[in-house]
Amino acid sequence: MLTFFRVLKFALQDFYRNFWLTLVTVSVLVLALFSVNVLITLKSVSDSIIDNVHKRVDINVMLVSDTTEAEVTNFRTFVSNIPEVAEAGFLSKDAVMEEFKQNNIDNPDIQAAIEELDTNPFNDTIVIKAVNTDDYDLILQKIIASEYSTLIDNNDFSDPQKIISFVQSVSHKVERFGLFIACLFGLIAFLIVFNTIRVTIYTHKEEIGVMRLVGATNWFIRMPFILASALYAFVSLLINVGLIYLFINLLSPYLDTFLADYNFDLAAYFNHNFWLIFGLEFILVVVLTVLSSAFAIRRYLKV
Amino acid sequence: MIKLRQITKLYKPNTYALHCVDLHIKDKEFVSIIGQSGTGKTTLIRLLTAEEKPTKGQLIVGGWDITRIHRRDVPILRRQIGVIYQDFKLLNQKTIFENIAFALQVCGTSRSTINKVVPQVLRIVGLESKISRYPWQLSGGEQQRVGIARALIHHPKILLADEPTGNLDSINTREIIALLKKINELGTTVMLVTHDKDVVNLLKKRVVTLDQGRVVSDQKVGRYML
Ligand SMILES: Nc1ncnc2c1ncn2[C@@H]1O[C@H](COP(=O)(O)OP(=O)(O)OP(=O)(O)O)[C@@H](O)[C@H]1O
Ligand SMILES: [Mg+2]
Repeated sequence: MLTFFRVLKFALQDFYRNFWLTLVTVSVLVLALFSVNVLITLKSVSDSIIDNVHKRVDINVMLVSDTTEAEVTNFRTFVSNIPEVAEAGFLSKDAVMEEFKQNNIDNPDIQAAIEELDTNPFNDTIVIKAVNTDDYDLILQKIIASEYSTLIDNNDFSDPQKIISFVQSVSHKVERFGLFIACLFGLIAFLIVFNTIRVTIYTHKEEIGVMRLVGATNWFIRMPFILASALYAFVSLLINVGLIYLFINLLSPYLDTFLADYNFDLAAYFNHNFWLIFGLEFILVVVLTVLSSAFAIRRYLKV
Repeated sequence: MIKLRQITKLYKPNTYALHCVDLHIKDKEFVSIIGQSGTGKTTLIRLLTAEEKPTKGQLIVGGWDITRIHRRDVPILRRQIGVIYQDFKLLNQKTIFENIAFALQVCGTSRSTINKVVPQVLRIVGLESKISRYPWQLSGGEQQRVGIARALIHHPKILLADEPTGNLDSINTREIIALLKKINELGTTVMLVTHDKDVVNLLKKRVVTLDQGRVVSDQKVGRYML
């Protein structure tokens, strides 16, 4: 225990004696960590967008105006029996009209235009929810291939799928780029820590020589360097946590307006996953720094 | 206390620093090792502190065969052997007290023991009044005495001195040699490597002469004869 505290003390001394070296090392580690967190943020935002789009996109199948009630019932039964369909709801044309009015309640022009109408321009509609949103195309194909295809009035179903695939492709690209950046920073951080430990070993050459001379154990000679590198990891993680919450606070007003429809709260996301995200990052960055200092020690601290 | 059997040290590719050296140094003996430059005196010291391993032969220190000593055991060996050098090897940013305390700290000695033991060894070498000075505020002779104090801190059975007076004038040299003699009389085996003719003649102790890695003479009461 005594020796442990002594090793810790030596490690801490290195930490503030080489102030600039420490600053550079910690900065690079913070950058690496920050880029990982930006990646996590982007991923969570895009996931939540996709999730929400998934939840709210239904296939609205408009029926031709002279469809009979029996036909509607048969059609709904048929759709419900498609295995990929979770639910097939029915909206009468009056209900559709009402919904349209509600959606455009702020728009006086549209309200006026509706008032002008004698007849309801909308049709009865079957609202289909899929078990899995990827199956929308399949469901549509099955419906179109069926005997009920003559009942269908609309000819464009694909909008929601387009949004989803757009968001997906953008987020994939961003993810891949972010991953690349994070790996790059990780590599740079590895090299910087390696160099920092190398320089620290060099500046302590005399002391290390004396330690050997008087019979300090290898463990005691090496441990301060390992510990110092773990301290780099710890300090940079703390700074990173502070930075992330600052970032969230600055960003969330914009994000909130942008994502208003998706009820996504970044701060809540980070709070909820605090230990998972930062714990994992800590482990990752400790492994990185300790590994890199171990390499430097092997290379430059011959015992 | 120290036994060398047919010790050969080859520095690749073809420098024989030591060649088939047989040497037996008894407990509490005071031995001077002399010889021209490059004849393997420092190499001998480095073998005894396990900084180098012999190419051939057997090396026994205090009954312990250290010929193939494991890395893990090297610190244990070094705590039983004190070494002093021509260049003192003191840390300039530490005071005298801290320099000696450092040797104990890195071996896990408690603070209270350190505070007790350090002034004691400083008293042995006569430097208790300069305990909070820095090495650069001391004369060469005083610095070497600090070196000796540090070497004695673990109460070693053996003290190795590699040209400890090489950087000192004759007055300081005499003081250091007198100190080494005193330490020897207190029961420590001393092995002194030196170039200094006066030192050897003054000591009237055993002298081993090396030449090109071989022992060429071994006298009970030696004189410098190169
Ligand atoms: N690490 C090394 N690698 C190769 N050769 C070495 C090494 N150390 C010493 N030597 C060689 O071994 C021989 C003995 O060296 P050593 O240092 O033991 O001499 P010395 O007797 O101490 O000399 P001096 O009186 O000048 O200090 C020399 O020829 C030297 O060049
Ligand atoms: Mg030498």
